[in-house]
Amino acid sequence: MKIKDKKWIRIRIYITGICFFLAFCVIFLRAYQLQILEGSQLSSLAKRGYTGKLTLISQRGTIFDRNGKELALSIQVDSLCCYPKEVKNKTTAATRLASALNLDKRDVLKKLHSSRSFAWIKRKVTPEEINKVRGLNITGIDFIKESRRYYPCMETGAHVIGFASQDNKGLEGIELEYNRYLEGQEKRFSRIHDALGRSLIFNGPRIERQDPFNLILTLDKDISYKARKALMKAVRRSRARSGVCIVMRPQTGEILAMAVAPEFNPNIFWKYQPYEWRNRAITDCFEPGSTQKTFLLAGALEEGVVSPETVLNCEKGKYAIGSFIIHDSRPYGMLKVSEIIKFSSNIGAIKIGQRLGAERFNYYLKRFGFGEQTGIDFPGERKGILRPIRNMSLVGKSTLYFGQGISVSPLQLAMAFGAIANGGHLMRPYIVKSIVDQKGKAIRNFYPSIRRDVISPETAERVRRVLEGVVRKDGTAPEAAIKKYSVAGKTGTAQKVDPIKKTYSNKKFVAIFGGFTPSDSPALVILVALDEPKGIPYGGVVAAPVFSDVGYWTLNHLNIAPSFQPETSLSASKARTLRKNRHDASHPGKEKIIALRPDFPGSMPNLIGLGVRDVLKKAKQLGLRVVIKGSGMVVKQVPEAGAPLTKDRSLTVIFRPPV
Amino acid sequence: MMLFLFLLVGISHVWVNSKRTQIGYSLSHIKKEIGQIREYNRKLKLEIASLKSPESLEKKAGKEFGLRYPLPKQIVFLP
Repeated sequence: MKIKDKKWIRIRIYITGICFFLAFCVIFLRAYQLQILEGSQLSSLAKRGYTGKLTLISQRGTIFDRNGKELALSIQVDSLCCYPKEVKNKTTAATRLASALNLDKRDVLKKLHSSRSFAWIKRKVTPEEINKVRGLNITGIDFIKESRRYYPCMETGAHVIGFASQDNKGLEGIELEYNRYLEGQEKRFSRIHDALGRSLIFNGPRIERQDPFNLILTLDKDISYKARKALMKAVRRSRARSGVCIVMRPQTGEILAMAVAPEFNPNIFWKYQPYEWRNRAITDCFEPGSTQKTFLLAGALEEGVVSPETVLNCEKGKYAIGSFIIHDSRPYGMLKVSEIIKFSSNIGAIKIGQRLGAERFNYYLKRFGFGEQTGIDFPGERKGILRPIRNMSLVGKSTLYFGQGISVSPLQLAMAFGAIANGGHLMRPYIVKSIVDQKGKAIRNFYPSIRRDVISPETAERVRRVLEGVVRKDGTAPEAAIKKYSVAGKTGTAQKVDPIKKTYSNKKFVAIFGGFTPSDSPALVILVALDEPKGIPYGGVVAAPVFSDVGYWTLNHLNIAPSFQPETSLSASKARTLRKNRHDASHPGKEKIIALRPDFPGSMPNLIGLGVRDVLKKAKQLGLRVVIKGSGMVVKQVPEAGAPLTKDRSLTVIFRPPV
Repeated sequence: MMLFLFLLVGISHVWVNSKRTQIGYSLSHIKKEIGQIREYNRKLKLEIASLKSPESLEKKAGKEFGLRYPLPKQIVFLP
């Protein structure tokens, strides 16, 4: 090989080496750029490609009654949203969406033209609407899971429980008062997914706050239902404007039921007017009328100015106070104090009041909790009006003795009756018994608390004995009596003030009955008030039957033994009747045959009207793969009933809650 | 020998990774199923609560089984 050739080879090697070196430098510089200069930016870009975030919406805490039965719970539902910038041909999309969702086209179009990046189209849509919208194939719209609140007992206890908004915020009642405990926080998971978007690994969740807590109330849903039903019956019968029925445990202050009319269904609260949501037992006030005489008697007995046997002159039904004449419904003459209460004589009440003195009476009214809040754990409580005695005229002081010129809430009145029933202790009423976490562990318990002692146990006992007379045959409320149980109570028929004439109306009244049973060992205080009943307005006629009805049912429900000696041996004829009834009940000929839906073998069964549990059971029997949409009762099934079972064996069932 | 060992380690690494991916898939699938079952469970609870509401029970007892509340004279108090 010539020297020249060798030189050329060397040059070529150098050139190749330099090329490799340069190429290596380029690669090195690129690697430096990618790894060092843009490393963090690119790595986060890549991470975005294979990781994602999954947001699990929080479920609001459940509300239970005192027996652990659900009164309010949340489940997941879908809501339809749009990303306006991604929606093409907005006018057509709006027309199709509006017709599928039964919305106004202009509203939908406005949302699609929104300058924001996100807008809700319709929240909490039904499974049928989801199917319709999916079938439209519109780009730029999406479904997001949200939590929806359900109240399975519907109107029962609605005014106490209240309701929550679409955004899971408590708006009324216990839902509002305990919102900070019931409200949950969204949970965010990070996940790694593949190119097809399938999840691979979950990390987290990053819990930003505790899970929501559940509430256990003092309410009993069965008693609440009974109170509601009896109250509604009385409201309908008397054509009253509104009504209230409170059932309370006098020893503890636990509220067992609080029924209010007009009622509303919290599942569809937006269809009612705000005045129908109001818990009138706590937010409305009225004059107590003759029920006030109970507390007058308690004060007078406590001070020793009268005894139940003291005889007073009731002036034959007419008594002048200054230039005013006070009337009684009947011309009573000389009456014992116990009879004054039994017959509800206004003049008799003034005579007792004169012995006690207005200042002392006012003192006792304050002690019984009038003119101040009861301290119940409920929003919007009113304290009523109790005017200072020094601002009152002689007539004002006299009419105060029989319940005029003072305004009280039904709850205040119930608590005051409770103080008579339990031996003189004014209790704080409460609705929430316990706040528990998701595992059922109590984080806070509420206990009975005595606000103050109002009268001595001996005085309370004497008042109870006098009040028992009210429900006797010759008293003002024989209809409040409960068979086999002793009852004590007081009626009230308060005239309402005419807002135009500024005088007491002769047509508008509030009918009240407050009392407790069994009177020898009170287990229940029940207060019933009906606003503006038509026809006979007396508390003993309109409100007392509700007391008797609710009291009788509740005593049986709580297994409280009767006060009177029960019949221990059956007479021969009664025993025969009982045996006959038993025989009839067990006789096969009397059985009622319940028709089941006919299903044909090899065909799809009819599931309409069934619940989730029955559907799953049936699907399991037939080996069907079932897809459940919504909750409640079946309203639609695909394939329809009677269709032949295919090899695919899949079944889609759409549920809707029975609202 | 070294080559064989190298191959063995390589194959094992690939196998472990593919197994990990498979387990990841089934884990996320199971988690999704658990979520669905939990939601079914809540819906069933709602249904039970709705069916057990006094109003629904009373309606069913009356219409389907012909039951009614006992009259006061039909209640016998035992000592």
